[in-house]
Amino acid sequence: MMEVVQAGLLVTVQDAGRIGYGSVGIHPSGAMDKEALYLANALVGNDDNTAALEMHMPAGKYRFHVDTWIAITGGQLEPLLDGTAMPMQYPVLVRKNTILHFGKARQGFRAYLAVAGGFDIPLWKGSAATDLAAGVGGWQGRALQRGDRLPICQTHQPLHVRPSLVTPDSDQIQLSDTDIVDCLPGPDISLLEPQQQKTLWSTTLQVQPHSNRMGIRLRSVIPITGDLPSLISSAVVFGTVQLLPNGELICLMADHPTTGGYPRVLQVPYYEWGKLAQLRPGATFRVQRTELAAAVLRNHLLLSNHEARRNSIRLAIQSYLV
Amino acid sequence: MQMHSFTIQALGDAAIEICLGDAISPNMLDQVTAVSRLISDNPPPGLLDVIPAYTSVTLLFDRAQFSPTNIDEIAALLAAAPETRKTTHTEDLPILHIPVCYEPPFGTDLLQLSDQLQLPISEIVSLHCTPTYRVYMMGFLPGFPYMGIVPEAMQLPRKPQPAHATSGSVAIAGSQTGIYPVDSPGGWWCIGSTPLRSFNSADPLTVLWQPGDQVRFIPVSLDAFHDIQGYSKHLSFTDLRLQGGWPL
Repeated sequence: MMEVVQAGLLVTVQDAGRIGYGSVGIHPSGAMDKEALYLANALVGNDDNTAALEMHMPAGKYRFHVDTWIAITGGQLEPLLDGTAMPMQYPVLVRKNTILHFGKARQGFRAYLAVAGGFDIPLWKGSAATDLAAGVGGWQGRALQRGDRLPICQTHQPLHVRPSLVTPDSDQIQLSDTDIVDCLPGPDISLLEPQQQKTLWSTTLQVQPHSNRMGIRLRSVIPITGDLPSLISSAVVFGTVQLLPNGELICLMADHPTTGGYPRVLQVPYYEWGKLAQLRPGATFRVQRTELAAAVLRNHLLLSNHEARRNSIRLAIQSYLV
Repeated sequence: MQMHSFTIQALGDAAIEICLGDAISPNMLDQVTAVSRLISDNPPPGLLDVIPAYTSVTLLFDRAQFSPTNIDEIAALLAAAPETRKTTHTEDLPILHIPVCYEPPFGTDLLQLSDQLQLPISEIVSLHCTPTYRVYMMGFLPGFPYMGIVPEAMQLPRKPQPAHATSGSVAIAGSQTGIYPVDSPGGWWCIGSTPLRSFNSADPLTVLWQPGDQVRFIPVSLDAFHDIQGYSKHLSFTDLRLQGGWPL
């Protein structure tokens, strides 16, 4: 069991999300940086889609009441075990009564904490993800609070880990250059005047402070103004970028509603989501146009590379199982 | 009903959007329902979800399996589908009766709405209770029904600023009316509240509604609101649907 000694700003139980219930309006929820979640799980021998914690700074303070292997991935939030720096992207054996807390956010915005066996969280509609808007799923449908005691599934625990076998490759752990984010044209981009479209592809976008798990709010340094028609609501997905009437853009993320009525002017492909999930308020980037076939290829490449990497990590860990 | 009039395009890198028209109508609802069923009955490999909306159906795919050729395959499936199908006769559909209390502390936007529309509150309530609505789609929140069509005299674009809406709030925006299934910020004008739940994660149906449902609003007093809230909370959504909502 893991006890929350001090609550973080927004620490929630997440997995890959709850897909398949869009027709009744159930949000997907799930991790913002899915590849970071999957890596954290692989490092402790779990399946990709095991319930883990998504943390933002301040990330809180925790006491482990059992010996357990843990791994933290994603944003570099400087995890400390009893005050000593804990390596990230690496499986670490935590002894009973150890305190985990965090120092400074050095890079990135959100981190993932996986425990071997996973947190023992009842599934709702096939997922342990917290749906904050509906107040369901995850840990009591809400962010973790002080005093919460999260049960951990019993599992075979890896006893020894040979570092060389599980050092993740550098591509995966380093946050990529976020100056440029590849985007597909959205289905409604033709509603913009040619000049507005030109602006969109050349402007610099800045992440706004009121961004959250529902969406990353973006302000264009060159305002994109002009009257836009109001549309009949239709489905939106993770990565859909809508243009709001005030000229702000919102890139929909994990907690997005299933439908929307603002023009969908851009779409961020999957292989760029991890970048977006790690952007802090104030960060800036430009978008670069890509096309569907190229984006799908990049996705397939990223998925298979990361999966191969996780499989080799799991193999390395399995050979040291009790 | 014509089945072969559609446009199809990718929505991002693992979804396909089928557009069936550009106007909200009961006939469009039938088409959307028919296309959703066609896809669900003939699921292409990697299909994860089918999301019907007012005039479109969106298909979500497993991105590891998705390929741009899926678009052509779906287009071929639609083109090969029967061209005509029976239109739903609404007289065959049951009507869900939804009690609504339009009195304080509910209907928090009624005064402002009355001012903007230049209509007395009693007239707004009476107008809202006049039509038999259809549930066109669900979205925004789990079990939030997009219903129409609101009488023209009480149509107003959504509020300039979103505000907090409590669970059960009955609200309007443009030609649409809906019910907040949970507490949420929202931009629709809140004109009343229903004592019936419309989302329950423990209920086998999860939500009260299904697209296509017919709905009528019945005005009730604050006392009746509390009575119905007490009586109805133990009823399953299946029971509520069987008894036609809360007919009075």
